[in-house]
Amino acid sequence: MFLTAQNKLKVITFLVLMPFGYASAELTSLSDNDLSEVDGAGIGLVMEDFVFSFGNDPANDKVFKITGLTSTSGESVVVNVNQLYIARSNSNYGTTLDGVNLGRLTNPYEIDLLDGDDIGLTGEAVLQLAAPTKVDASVGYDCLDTNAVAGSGTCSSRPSSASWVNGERPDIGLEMEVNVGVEAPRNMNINASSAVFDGSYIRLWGDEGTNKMAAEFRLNFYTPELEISTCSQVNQGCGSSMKMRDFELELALGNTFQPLYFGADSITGGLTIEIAKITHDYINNIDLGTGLSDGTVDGDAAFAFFQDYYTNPAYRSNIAVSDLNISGTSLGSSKVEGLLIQYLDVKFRDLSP
Amino acid sequence: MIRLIRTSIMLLAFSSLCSAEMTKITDDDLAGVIGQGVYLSGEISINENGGPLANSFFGACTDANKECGARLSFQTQQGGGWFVLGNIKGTIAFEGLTLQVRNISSGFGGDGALFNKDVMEIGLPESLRMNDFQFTLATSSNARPGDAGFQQVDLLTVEMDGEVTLDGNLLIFPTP
Amino acid sequence: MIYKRFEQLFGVRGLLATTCLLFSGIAIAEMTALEDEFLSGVSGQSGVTLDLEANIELAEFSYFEDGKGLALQGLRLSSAEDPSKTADFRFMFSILNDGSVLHEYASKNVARFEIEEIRFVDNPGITPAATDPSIGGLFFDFNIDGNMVMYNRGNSAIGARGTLGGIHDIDFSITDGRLGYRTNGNEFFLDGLSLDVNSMGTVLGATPLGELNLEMPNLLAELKVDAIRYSNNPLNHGVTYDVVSGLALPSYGSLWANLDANFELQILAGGAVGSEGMTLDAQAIINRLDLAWGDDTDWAANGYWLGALGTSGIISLTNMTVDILDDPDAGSVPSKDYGVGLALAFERLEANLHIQDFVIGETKTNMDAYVLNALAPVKSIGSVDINLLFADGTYDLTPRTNVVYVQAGGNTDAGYQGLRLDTQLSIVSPNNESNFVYTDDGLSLMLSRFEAFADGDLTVDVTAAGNLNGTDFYDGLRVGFEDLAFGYRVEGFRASESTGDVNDLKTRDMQAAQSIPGVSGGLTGLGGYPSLEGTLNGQVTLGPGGADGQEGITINSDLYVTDGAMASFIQGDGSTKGVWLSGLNYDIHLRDMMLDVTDEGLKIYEGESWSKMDVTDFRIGDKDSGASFGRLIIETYEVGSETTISAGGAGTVCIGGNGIDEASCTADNGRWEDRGNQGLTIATVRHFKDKIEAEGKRNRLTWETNRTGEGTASPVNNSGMQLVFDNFRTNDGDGLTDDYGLRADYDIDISRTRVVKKSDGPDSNGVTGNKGDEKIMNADGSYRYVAPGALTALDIANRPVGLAVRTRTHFKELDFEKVNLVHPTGGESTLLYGLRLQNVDLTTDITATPLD
Repeated sequence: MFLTAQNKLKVITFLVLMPFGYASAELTSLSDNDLSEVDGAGIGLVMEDFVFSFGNDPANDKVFKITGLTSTSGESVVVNVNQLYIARSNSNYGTTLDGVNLGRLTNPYEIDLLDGDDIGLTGEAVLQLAAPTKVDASVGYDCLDTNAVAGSGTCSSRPSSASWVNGERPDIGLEMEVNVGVEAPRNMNINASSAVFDGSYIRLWGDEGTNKMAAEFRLNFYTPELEISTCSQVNQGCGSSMKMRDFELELALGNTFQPLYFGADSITGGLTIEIAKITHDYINNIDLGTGLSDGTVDGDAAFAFFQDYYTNPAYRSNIAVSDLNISGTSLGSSKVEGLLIQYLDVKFRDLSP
Repeated sequence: MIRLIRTSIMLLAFSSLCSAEMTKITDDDLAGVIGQGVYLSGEISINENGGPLANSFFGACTDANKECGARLSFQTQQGGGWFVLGNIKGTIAFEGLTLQVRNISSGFGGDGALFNKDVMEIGLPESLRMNDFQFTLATSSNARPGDAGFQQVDLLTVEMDGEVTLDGNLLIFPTP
Repeated sequence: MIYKRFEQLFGVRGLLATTCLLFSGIAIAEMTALEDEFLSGVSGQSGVTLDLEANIELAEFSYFEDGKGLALQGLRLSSAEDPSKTADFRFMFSILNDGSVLHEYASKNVARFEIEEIRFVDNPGITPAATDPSIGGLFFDFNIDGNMVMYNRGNSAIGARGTLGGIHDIDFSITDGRLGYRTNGNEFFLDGLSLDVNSMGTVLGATPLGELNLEMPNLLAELKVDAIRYSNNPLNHGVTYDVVSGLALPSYGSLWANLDANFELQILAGGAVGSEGMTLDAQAIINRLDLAWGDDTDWAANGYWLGALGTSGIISLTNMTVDILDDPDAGSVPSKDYGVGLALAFERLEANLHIQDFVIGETKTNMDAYVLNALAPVKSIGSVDINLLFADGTYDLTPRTNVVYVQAGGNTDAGYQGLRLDTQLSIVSPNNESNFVYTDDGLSLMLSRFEAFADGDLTVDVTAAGNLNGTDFYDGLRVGFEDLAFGYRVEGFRASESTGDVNDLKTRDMQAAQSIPGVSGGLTGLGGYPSLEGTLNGQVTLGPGGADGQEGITINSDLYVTDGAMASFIQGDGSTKGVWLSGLNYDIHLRDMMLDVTDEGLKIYEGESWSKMDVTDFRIGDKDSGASFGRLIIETYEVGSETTISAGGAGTVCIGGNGIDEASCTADNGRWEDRGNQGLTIATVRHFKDKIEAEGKRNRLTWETNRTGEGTASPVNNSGMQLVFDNFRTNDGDGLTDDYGLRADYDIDISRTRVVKKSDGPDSNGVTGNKGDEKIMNADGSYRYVAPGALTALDIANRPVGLAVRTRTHFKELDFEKVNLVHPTGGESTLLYGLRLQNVDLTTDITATPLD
């Protein structure tokens, strides 16, 4: 499977549009992944009063572009990043830039070394890069509500409020102008307001059996409004946009039984991403017809394992949107819940030999 | 979405400094900042005039057929290919990068009093200017370009030039 | 009371009469005819000429006080060339017209004065056992020519102290000299020594306070040493050429010292302990001192020197007591009791020295021109000021004092001879009396408020390569450290324009003290940090010969620091909060590290070196209680690395733009800086080698955290999770050869830079300004903020001064074999199977000023 620039953008939109087929009125927050936090020790990072903004602006001698991409027809694609910004919420698409905090002193972004014994990887040391962890609902904040108060949810990052102006929920935006060959440039903007990543992490360890670096990747992304638009840079609030209200993404790629392996091909040099098939030492003790244990101790152990695997929400991914609004027309809510990746094998390669 | 976040995190990691045009909150909220650290200004330039290697792949910046930037590569699988951050070059000039050990016992919306410890505070620079700064993300079959059978798949190249708007402090501290 | 006992072991011909001067008591006088030229200078009433041919041996000459003695054994005066022959002198006494006595003296051959053993004894005159500990042997060869005039001035008191005594003019030259130290068959000596001394108006007498007073108000002296030599052949006894091979003995280089001083010394009876002993006070005002070391030099335009030129200052010693006492560890720590020693304790030693130019890689011709005319150009790094106050004090609540016990024996495995110094030192700085200042092109950096202590034993031996009693020794002068507890720190850095008075710097704004890239670490990885403490064991052996030419210094060293703490960053607010590497255990091994002075500067070639730095807790904040990131282990192994230290600094630079001159630089939005031609340049080439497991040599970085007891005062090492960057090596991009290595060039200057206010309102010093304003210094050291539009050329010339470090790191390939994750029970597993950096040329140019 190969992805060009055009195809890569299509994949993103596909992932986003997928919930279209699953309409539901449910707006409750989805499963609480990994509330049980694992105590690692390491380095805590907090950004205080942070603002970042940079963009392509030839009039002011600024260049910010992404090149090296080619379209399916072989034309070069140059993406001018009109603005990439991170700032306090209510930034009005990155025009009002105030400082935001990222992470909390009591719950920072972390780089840790975990004891694998605590997370099901016996005898392994695990490197973890993590966003602030989720907390108990009695002390946390609702992940989507910009007026959330303590005790309303499981996210620890707080929204901007009168008592705590910065907040820990930034506005993030990537506003691009895509130039394919000699065609007219097209704008493509992605803006998220009051974004929360609590509970996200990536865990890396060495898998001795396969001699590969193994990973467990969790991405939680909550935003009360995620907007994808084709508005021009100066007219960011224009109508040709798709707004997703109460966007929740909880993506689980890889776990301790099925690690995510990413690497590069030693011949073509292309990027490879794989998740191996789930298996168990005693899988042969499961009756393939009924899906139940064959009665042996090994079979029971295998059954318990698979039972947990299929019922535990920690291994599943979810995407939910409370309202999908395209250019003013509301299409209602949608949800993809309980997506379990049982096998993945992706290889990138160059189109031109 | 993953790429967006990955790209933005990586850009954050590499870009550092800009002059902030907006007003930030007053010093009142930065309580506990009494200390004499250092104020740093200067520049970092990578391979401005190329690097020391000269072979079939690396060469002078004036040679269009050669790459003159620095290269970092790592291998995640035994015998596998390599992830590459290549052709890194350019200059980042900054003023006002500050360094100090700061005791935080207040502020932060109430977190400061609970935290009550020392942190290493890196104040992001007052002004940061990129000068023809660029890098390429790629994957390759071998670590050393010039090896037989070497193939590289470029994912994207980022180029940055100009004043970056940057403000704030990075606080680093151990987590128990 | 002073005992003098002469034992007649070898035939002493003649009678012993007076007690003053040794050789005037014994004479073998032969009558020779006086030649007219000797008589021509004599006028006045009378003149006496005395020819002396002396070959004297004394078994023991000892000084006793309060029942313990320092014995000089095996004293001899003879011909230097042949100890069985005599030392010949001519003395002439005459009385000048004004009644003063002129005493002229001249050697007729090269004489040798030698002491075979220096021991500490309880009773005088007892024959020592051959292996009783001894400090070793000393010898002094000389051919002296000079005179002394004793004034005829009556009995009135002299000078401010009211001394009763005499005034003398002293003027002599010593040539063909040697000064040597022998231990266990090995020698370390100054060869080809010449010394010119001129001291007009010397006062010697007693003051009303009962002190023996020596004053030398116009002391001029010049010392030249052709070669500093070493011999490990016991058959060599103070010779330039080896008696077996005939080759010249290897040399460390040449030495030159030139002094103009005013010196005073007072000696009072009574020491620190008991009723006997001595108490000394001394004051030296150094008007000028030039001190230099030359490598393969002809004392003219060939060969290059390292020197401290144009030094001036004051050294003042108060109440130094001299006693002979038991080892302070006697009774309490018997294993550290090394017997009786000469105890030198002092209440206060103050040294304030200003070195006008520290030159590296300069010829003698140019240095001589500089001595005559201070404006003559020399390759100078700039000026250095050293201010130290040794006095009683406390370091981290432990009381410290100053006392050195000079003991016999040295390192016990090296043999019975050697010097041991049981040392306690305390450097205090209650009002910033102790500090270091570096001045580069008129801009100064002060390492403010230096404090230090030491408590332990140093040993000095001259050793030969080999293994004795289980210890490895190397050729050269060996300085050993035995359980030497030490510590030092500075409170911060102060940078400012130099007013000429170092004391003005004490009121300037302080910034954090930081480790200086290229400088911190130095040769052994220990010096130059804002703070370091621990217990030091090990040795440094300085051997003769370098990598370039015939002369030079070869270093073989093994140093171990245990229970230590090092700061790489200390806040400049008076607290000692910073970045601390605590629970530090560090060992470093240097094999055949060779130092030479060349045209390019001081060149250091490292044969082989390996080290391990194991930091139990990498802390932020307080040294002992700051939060810990965990454990850090840095292991290095290098072969053939090189360092060149020279004067120069960065010169002119364009920051933030590209341009070869000011116009093109500013046109490219850059800032042009001229950092002058003083400053320090350090160029390094490091070759990191593949690991040798069996010998514990490797290049590896380890971070360990999540240990049992992490975050407490006693974490258990190796019980946590580790991230390891293993076996990093340099190569030329092909994985085969390593000629390029990892090169880092450091240019260190003190320079002005642009400092911009980051927010509106008052800063931490209460000075108000707006965001974007530039900080501009006032003449008195205070500062103000000026809006960018209102800057004048004078303002720009008064930008803040800071430490400017330009570092260029370049290498072809740095290859990490693996990045591993290690579990305490599960073992090692690989995270990255390879990590490579290639074609890197990274330049950082950063100036540090105070944070307001």
